Amino acid sequence: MAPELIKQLAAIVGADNVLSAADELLVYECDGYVVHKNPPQVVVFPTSTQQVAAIVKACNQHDVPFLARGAGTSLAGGSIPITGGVMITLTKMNQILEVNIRDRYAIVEPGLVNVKLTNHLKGTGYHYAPDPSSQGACTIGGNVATNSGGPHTLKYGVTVNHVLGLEVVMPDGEVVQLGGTVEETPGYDLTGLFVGSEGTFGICTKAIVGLTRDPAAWRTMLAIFETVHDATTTITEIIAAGIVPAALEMLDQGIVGALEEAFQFGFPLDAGAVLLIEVDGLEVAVDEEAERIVEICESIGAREVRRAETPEERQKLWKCRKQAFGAIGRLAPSCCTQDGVVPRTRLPEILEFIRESGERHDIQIVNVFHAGDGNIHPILLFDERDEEQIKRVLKSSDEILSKCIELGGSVTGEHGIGIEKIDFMKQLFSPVDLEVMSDLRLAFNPTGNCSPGKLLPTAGACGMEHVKRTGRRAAN
Amino acid sequence: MSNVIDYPVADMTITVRGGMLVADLQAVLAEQDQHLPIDIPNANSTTIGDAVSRNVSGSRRFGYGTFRDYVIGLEAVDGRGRQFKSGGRVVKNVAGYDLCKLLIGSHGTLANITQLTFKVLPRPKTVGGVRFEMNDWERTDSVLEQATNSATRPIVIDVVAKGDNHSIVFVFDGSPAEVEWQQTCICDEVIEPSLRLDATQASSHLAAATQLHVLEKNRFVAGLPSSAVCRFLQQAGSVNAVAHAANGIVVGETKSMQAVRAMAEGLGGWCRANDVDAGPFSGSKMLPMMAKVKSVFDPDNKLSSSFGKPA
Repeated sequence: MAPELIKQLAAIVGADNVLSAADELLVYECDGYVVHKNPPQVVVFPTSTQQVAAIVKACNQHDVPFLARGAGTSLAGGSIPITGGVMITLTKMNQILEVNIRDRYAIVEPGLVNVKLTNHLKGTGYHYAPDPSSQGACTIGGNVATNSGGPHTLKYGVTVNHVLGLEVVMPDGEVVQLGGTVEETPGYDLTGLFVGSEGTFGICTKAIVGLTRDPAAWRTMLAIFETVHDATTTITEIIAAGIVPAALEMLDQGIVGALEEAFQFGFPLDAGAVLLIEVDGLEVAVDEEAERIVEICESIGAREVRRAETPEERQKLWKCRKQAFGAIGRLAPSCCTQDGVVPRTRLPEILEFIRESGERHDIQIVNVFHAGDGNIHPILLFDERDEEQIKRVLKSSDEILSKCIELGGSVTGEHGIGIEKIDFMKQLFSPVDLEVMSDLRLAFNPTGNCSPGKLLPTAGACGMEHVKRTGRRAAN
Repeated sequence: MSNVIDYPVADMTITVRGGMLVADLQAVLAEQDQHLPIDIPNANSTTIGDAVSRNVSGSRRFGYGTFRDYVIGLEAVDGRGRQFKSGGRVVKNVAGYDLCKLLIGSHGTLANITQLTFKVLPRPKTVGGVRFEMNDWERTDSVLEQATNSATRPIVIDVVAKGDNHSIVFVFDGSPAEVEWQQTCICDEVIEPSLRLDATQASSHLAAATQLHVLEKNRFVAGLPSSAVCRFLQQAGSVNAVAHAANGIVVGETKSMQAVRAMAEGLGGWCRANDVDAGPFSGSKMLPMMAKVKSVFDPDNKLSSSFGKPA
């Protein structure tokens, strides 16, 4: 990289906000998808939109690729600098700029950690609905880029359903305002298009997010089943009965064991699976809804349905759920999490397929996922020091995701395509579908320098050649 | 040929042809006690593709959102004759660019929507509401402010202005017990002369409000900060209008479009004529970026090209 560019970048953000020593760059060589690694040549920490725009313009001047990074929690490699270049880390732009309860919005900087907004809003009667499991670390900007979900998106929707507007530094360095604090500003819904574009249409430097009224009451239950099949059948029955719970999560025996070891919540270790079910609404209605759910669980043969009796118990249950991924470390040195989606009625089938696939390839697979949405997260456990195991993990992963497509689903519900699932795009979409998407990217990102190598398998422009998976290494 | 392509009822999704009439779609869903909770006027003569293309919505958008919250997949043919799809048939899916969002409300300028997949919801058992007759805009504004922290969870908060009179309408849905509890609660919170609306009356309010969204001469649609809605209606004087107050969306009739637009803009919002002759994107500040998008889908302007006047 031209030393001149590094000098220019230092002039923009200050020398203290530039990293270019090889050892410092190692942290930025990958995100939560640790299978593929490649460090950037420089990392910069801008503190304002103007700085981001100046950085982008400097990169363009030198024809150097660049990409944004939040907390680096992406599980699909969305923030891996696949072709090197300049990494624009937004964690210093982390302020809540405005909260307006009357007009039900907040304006935040992209580097704000998701849960900080929720905490900030406590006591107002409102919250920011999208709650990814990584919400204690992930940033709103990253959520916008990947259109993140979370357990409560079953009822409340994913990130895009809560973004009213964005300030974006476009790939040419121009700063644009999309949407706004007022609903439906005239024009195309470019906000909706930008959300989930995985950083390939530009860099979000401000987000205007809608605020959701807190539920008046909730009931949180833990239903315990002898088998995974009983649990998945129950999920299908609950949805088919016309009940939309606030959240409906499944944890299988493998996960429950790891969680129990970590938190000693009192999960039964011999159960095949448990469902974490939450209904919310008016006090006058939640008991009836909870009762209906209990009846369904029992009719399918639940061993027991426990209720969280206090807010503390509820919080502990959710803590267990959200830290499930952390607890995996107790099971194996490495893991690979998939993010497939199936129609909700096909959950028993896909779970059975996952079990078979694990047996076929001799890989232990545990499951913790957003069952109500049909969004599965099979976690394939292995040891990354064993090349042969990695191959089997890859085969099993690919098989599971292909099965999701066959069942009428998708290969990603909330993690994004990133670099990880790029090969599946051709299975999901026709050449024409991909051509349209590629044309759109070219219109916004003509040089391809803005986050190259992500999301689309087709070569659109320089730097966007198909990125071949070079083999996966797994989570440390 | 049936307009329903796939309706896995238990998955609560439905895939239909774009040419299906809205009323037919709602009837198919109603048979299964499900619905698409969006208010669409002239359901007997409007196709679902057209409604999506114009991003039609009404009073219930406060509780239920708009098409962008329900369209999970679509197929369309663009101005270059390319048939493409976006999204899929599952309720959660982030694979590829979300062209659904782009086409919703694009008024046919990018592509013709041929097929749509929706996420649908269970139909609530009943609906009911409360109408408060108001005579002081400041008081109305304070009631709306108070409503942000109401113990109730209304699906509609409308302000109806007719001549010099106006009222606030809250609508609730759910079980009969939920609706009744909320009706009582809102009357305890808002101490003003009130009239309880039963299911029929609440539905006819929704229908009347929806009808004001129909494109006609001298009609406007405005988007404002929710907190500016009362000031806007007060300044507009004697108008026939409905404000979906918590969303800041106002539709109504006016003889002085320019004045109404100036008022909306003065309050930090936007306003455009809501008739067939007016460009749907008049006043957009995004026209240069929209032109880039247009050039991808319809470079030769074979489809509708009414971009309206720049801001």
